[in-house]
Amino acid sequence: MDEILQIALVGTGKKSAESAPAANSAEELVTLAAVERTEKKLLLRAGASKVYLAAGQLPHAASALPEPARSEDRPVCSSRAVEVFRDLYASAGAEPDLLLEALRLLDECGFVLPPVLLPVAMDQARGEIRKAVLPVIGERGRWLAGFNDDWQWVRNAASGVTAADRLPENADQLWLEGNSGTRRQLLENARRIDPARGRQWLASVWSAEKADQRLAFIAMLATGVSDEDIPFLEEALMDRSGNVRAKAADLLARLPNSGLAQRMRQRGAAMLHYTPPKKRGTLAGAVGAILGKKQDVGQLEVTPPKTFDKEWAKDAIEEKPPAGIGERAHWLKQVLQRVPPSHWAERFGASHVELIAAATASDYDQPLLEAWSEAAFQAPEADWISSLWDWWFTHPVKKPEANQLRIQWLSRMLAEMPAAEAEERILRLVTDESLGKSLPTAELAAALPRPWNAKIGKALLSWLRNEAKTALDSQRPGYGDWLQVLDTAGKCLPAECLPEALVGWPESTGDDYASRFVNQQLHHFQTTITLRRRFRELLQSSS
Amino acid sequence: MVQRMQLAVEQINALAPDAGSAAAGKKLADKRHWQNLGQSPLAVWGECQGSALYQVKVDVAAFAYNCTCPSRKLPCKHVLGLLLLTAQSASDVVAGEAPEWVTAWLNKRAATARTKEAKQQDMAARPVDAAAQAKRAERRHATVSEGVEQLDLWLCDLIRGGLAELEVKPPSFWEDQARRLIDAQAKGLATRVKRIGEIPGSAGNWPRKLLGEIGRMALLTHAFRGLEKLDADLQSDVRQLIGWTIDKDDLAAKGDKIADEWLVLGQTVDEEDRMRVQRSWLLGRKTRRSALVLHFAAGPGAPGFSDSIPPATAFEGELIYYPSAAPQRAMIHARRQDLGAIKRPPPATTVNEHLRIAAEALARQPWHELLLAVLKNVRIAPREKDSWLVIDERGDALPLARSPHWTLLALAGGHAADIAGVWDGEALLPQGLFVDDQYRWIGG
Repeated sequence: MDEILQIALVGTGKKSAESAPAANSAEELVTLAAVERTEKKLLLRAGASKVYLAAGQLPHAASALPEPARSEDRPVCSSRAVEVFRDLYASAGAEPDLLLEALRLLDECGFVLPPVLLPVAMDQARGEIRKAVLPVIGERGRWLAGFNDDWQWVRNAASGVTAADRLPENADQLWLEGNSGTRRQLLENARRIDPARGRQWLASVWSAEKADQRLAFIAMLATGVSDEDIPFLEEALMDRSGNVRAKAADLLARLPNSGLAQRMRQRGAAMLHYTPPKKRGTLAGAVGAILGKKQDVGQLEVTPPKTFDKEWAKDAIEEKPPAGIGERAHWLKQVLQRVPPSHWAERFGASHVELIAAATASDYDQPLLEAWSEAAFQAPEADWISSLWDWWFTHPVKKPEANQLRIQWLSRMLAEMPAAEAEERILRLVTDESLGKSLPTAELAAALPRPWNAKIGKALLSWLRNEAKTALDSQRPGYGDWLQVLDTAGKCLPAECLPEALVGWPESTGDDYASRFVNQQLHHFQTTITLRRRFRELLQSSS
Repeated sequence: MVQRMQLAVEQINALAPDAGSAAAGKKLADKRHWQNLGQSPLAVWGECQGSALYQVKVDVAAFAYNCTCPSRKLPCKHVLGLLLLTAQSASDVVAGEAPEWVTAWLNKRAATARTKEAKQQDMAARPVDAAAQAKRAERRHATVSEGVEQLDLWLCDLIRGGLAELEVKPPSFWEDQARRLIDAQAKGLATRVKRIGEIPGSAGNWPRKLLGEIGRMALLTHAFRGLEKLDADLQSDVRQLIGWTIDKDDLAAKGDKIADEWLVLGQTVDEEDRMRVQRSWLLGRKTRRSALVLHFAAGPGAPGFSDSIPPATAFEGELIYYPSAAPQRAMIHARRQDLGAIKRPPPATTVNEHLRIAAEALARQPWHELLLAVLKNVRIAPREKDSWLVIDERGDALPLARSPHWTLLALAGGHAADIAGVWDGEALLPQGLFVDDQYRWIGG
């Protein structure tokens, strides 16, 4: 067709088609036919050629074929579960908990995902969902991931970039040449398996990396941090980026043998003086107890420095305070949050309970307890965390920003506590009516480890049923708290509590807005519970 | 015995006219919303509480449905909800005797079917008013001839001026010509002109493609000029391509009924000319004949396709092909028995055999465009930048249109499988594959 194509492009007005030879037998037939207009003849030749070439299509040459996927070690789950997973993946953006639960259950039951779901599973970007899907992605998933760069994360896991017990063979090369995500995963993994190697990697590229990369990397040194890391961290303490310096300081503070840790302890010691309570005689003590007098607390004298010592800046302590806090309080906090609080218990020979009580009574109580909270969190020190939680809990504040801070601390600490302690406190929260409404139960319930254990589950269900009844009876849903806990409960109640979660709810026939709203929320809760029961049932039955 | 169609949840969702209906249907798949649920060998029914109590019924033998709600979308969310409920928790839909409002509907349907059959027989037997019919036909033929004459002149002008300058023509250049053809009652040619208008400036070697398509259109007008010289079947093709339609009742009465076990292997929905066109691709197991069933629906959001042909299912029934030198388009005359999922491999060919079949179709009817292909034991070669390939046991390959195809690759897992798709002359658009003892449709 090429000959006539050239002519057609410029137009038969300029170039004649008569002379162009027929390119194939179909065109030839047309040239022999009687057609009035030459333009029409050219078009017919083109059409005939097109059909001729289309009919004469030959197969393409084969290219290299990939090896087939290996067969699965585990059975594939039932195909009835496919639709359920599709729905869960579709809503994973807003509600990842159900998907996580289903994936973990799939793993527990020893299945892998059906192949039809693999593309959507591997497209999922959220970190925790990726982690949950890796055990159930199967041989087919690992095979499929090899064909698409976007699914590199699966290959990384398979190859040992993120595997739990070994590093990949070409780890050094990957460290230097991999992309940002791969390198971060690799470093994190290395710090678990061979911390020294991880640190050496970091040291070799340190000066060349950008600030945000340095910050991400140095945070990973927290895994497996030891005295061996001290020289590197002290270098990092002089980094150009303030954030990196602060992080280096946090890490050094955890290593009691480091210079920084020792200096902080000295600086702290200059600010805190503790006098234990007078020991009363037994009789006075008994009388006091009968009269209901509180135990005497020791005295904690808090004297933050009056001026800023320039030397301190070298240890990542900032001179200028942020808005809302005074200079001296700011310096106090920065020093004390870098000393593990158990140091003070040891130094003053007092228990953490006594010290916290003393701090409460002192000047600078707020910044001191905030500093100790941060320090307890960093260390971490479980008994301090529990007691400090109690302090935060029993000291409500009026100002909303301050209360917000309080709630954040309570949530953070609750998440860090051993499960039994956390549960005890939540139980206290829901059963103690004198607390009023200053503490959103919702945030705290959300901070509990998931799934909840059966005891907490039952307690919260009881509480929720009561709240629901109150709301419906008073025709005021109390748009806050309990409805949010209800929402969280739908996702966090453990498997044992699911059957009873559907019953015992108050019904309302009220037509007012409030009743309808409550009913809607209850219905949503029950739908979630039913969905969970359904997929648990589906996944636990065989294919 | 009439076997009932068991639909899987995936297939029910595929019936929904749009995502909103699908979601609404899911919400209604909960027995809280339903009363008087029940099923029998012939039907499934229930009453759904919406803003009123709607009566929803499904005829499972013929796969038809009805709901008393005022929604114009078909199937409505109530029907979808009932189907999903039956599929997911069949124990909630108790077997029993159908209430009066269900049997009344079933009887009415049977009566309508009988009337339709009678009407068709009537029409076949009716003496035609030959004179009036002939006059109408003559007039139409004259109008179209004028339109074709004008089109030829227009095409000659194009070629005289040269294709190169067509790239800068505004859309109205093509639309005006298309409109003239619609006025000349040649809708098929009008659509062709509009499609050709999209080629200049498109990807790849557009001048070549443009010349080819204009050339094919010239063949069509030339064929029309000499219509009497063509065989009857090819005449029918030319007329259909230009814009004459075939009356469905006429076809039902006069056409040959081909009975077979029909496998629904593919389905695509395209937007064309402000309409939605659903193409269902069927293959007869014994006759090995492929068939294309077309359904139309007005623009997005309007009522869905009125007849459902769920992909990856099979049925015993009769099709009637539209007359053609290379018969492809067909209508479903009767569905005798729904056979559910496809559990045996469909009839398949090698790549070479398929190309030969494609060539033969073109030889019989030169404007042939799409063809169903089922390739035996092919493996997929995914490629980074080019189209993926399917390669058969002999090492012959065909490209896959609109690569990549991750679901297809995931299901095949690198093993050989029978793959079905729609061949457009250059590439294969995959529709499904037979793997793990079942045919799986991978979606439009």
